[in-house]
Amino acid sequence: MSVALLEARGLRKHFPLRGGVLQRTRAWVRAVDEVAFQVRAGETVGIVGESGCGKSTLARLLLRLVEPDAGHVWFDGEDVLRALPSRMKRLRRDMQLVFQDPHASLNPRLTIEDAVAFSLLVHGVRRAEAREKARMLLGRVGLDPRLYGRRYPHELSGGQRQRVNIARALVLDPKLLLLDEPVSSLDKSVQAQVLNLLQELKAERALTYVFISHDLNVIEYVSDRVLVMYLGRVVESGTADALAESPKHPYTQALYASAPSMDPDRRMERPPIAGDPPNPINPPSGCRFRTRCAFAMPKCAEAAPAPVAVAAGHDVACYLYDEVRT
Amino acid sequence: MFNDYSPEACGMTAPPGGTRISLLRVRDLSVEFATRDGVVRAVTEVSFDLSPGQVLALLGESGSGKSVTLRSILGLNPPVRTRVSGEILLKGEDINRLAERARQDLRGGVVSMVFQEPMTALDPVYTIGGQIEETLIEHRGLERAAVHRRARELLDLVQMPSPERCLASYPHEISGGMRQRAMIAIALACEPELLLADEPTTALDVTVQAQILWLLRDLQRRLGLAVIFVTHDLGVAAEIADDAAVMYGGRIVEQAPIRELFRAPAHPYTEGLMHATVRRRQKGKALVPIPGAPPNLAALPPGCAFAPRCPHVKPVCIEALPPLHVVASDHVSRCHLVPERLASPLLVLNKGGSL
Repeated sequence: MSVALLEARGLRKHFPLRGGVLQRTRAWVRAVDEVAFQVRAGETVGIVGESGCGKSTLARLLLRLVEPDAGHVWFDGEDVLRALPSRMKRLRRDMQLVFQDPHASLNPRLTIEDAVAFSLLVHGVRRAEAREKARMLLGRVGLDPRLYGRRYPHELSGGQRQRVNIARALVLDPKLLLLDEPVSSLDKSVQAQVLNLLQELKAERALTYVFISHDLNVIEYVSDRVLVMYLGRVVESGTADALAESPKHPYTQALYASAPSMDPDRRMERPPIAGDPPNPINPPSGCRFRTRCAFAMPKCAEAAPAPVAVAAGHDVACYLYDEVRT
Repeated sequence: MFNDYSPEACGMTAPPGGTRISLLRVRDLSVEFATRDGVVRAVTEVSFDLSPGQVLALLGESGSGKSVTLRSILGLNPPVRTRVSGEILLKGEDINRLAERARQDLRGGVVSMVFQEPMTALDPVYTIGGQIEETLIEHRGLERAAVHRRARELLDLVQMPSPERCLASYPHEISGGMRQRAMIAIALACEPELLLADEPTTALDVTVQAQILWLLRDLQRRLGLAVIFVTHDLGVAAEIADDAAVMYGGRIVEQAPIRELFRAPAHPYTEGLMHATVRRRQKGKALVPIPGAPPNLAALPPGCAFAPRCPHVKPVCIEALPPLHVVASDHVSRCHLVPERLASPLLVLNKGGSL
């Protein structure tokens, strides 16, 4: 087993909500709370959860696009949160982010060739060399640079734009890609093209992926290990197979049961859980899932359950599995 | 055994069962938009029937024409630079020939619509109660007290949590799932016979989507509603529909009962979509994407619009528009290769007793 390429411990981010004439803090959005995980070199770790669970904030904390309030992040043995700005620039070459919305994340005034070459220029590569490398990468992601290189983002389809984003993230030869809902806005037929491309690139370039999605099927398909997040906390983590075969946390179970079966003969009998995910502003005390949980006990309101190992590498933060601990 | 119907002769499939009366009859619906890039043929010669109580999924990817088809049924397409042709008979009345006033009476009373994004479809400056009551006053002319009672009943019908508080809430004060329940309540206010649902669960989280799908199915059964459910998601169609019509490039390319469609898809596009969709327990198995991209609706080819992406393409596919071939009873596919591929042993086996 290789050592962790990326490790996070006790990561926390609470955003203040200000209001009134004095702009005093009125409430806190508890976006990410006490999140800890490891990503080993070469693996794909999937992060799955519904809106407001903190998965996108988490990606931004790992890159320090948003500064965490507390916690540690190590990348390749280096303390990311202590890195000086010059060092941070170097670290970000190795950790690249691919955003969800390919419409909003490309500069409309740059041709796609320039968009891909841009980060090389920022990092001091000569223009001719940068352009050459950009053209090579565009070719690799399936966009012939002779046909597409001089086009602008609005001339491309959503799938093509997402390919540009992937080329742009790869142009600095990173070790790790943080993929934030990379296929969510794409049609299913195009989604499969991009997923296959990501799998090929990962093997070719020995990449490590952190793959964020709300789509359980996609997460199960691409990931070696999966973290399930709910309102800022990791409620369960384990191998993709272990989670699919025997999800333990009541929320993970509900998430799997809610996904359509793709079989008209096996329709859902009843909705697995009621209600919407609560607002991350002032979330429930204790276990944040307790307000929607069928098994909630009095102690669930008192303190958040700590993760318990139910099997090797399979952790669950739920009091139902407390006896395993003792 | 395999009858070839020309699109003109067949129109589209006979209604399932053949003898059921149709609530909605769409014949040769075409919708064109004049744009700077030329004439966009959003919908071309779409025909289908819907019986009372039937749930039809209109399946397709972005730009396939599914939402424009749905909007045409309400006459909601923009009035300028739009050409609509064909017939839309709702309980026998052609809505394209009705005066605006008469159309208004059909909207709400006979047919109503649930939109994808409840946050934009609801009015942010009126309470939920106010918006339900407005619908009732506009269409039913009820008394104030009766209106309030009915609004409360409707929220109970859609199983709204804390309904009294919801009546007094503004759209931004309630959750996404509750907003979608409120929109369904408004749609049901005047007891329509046909509900048009345009991707009503796409913007929702998966646990909430499960609740709304279940609610719609429950309401459909209890109220005997006919529903046209527009979705891009095969899984959602599998949960809710009796029948599905698959759209591509503005045309219906395949129509079948939902079980039949999943068991034996007969159009290469439908097959491709099934293979490209990530399912549970698919880890380690390669996805088979559909190569290329959807067609440009401003420059549709003379033949089959799917031909440039089709793994089975033949010269005839590029030259001529395929007719609708009957695959089985109630199952049609707009593909030149249906006779040939159906005759292959594998497909005959898949068909089982239906041949």
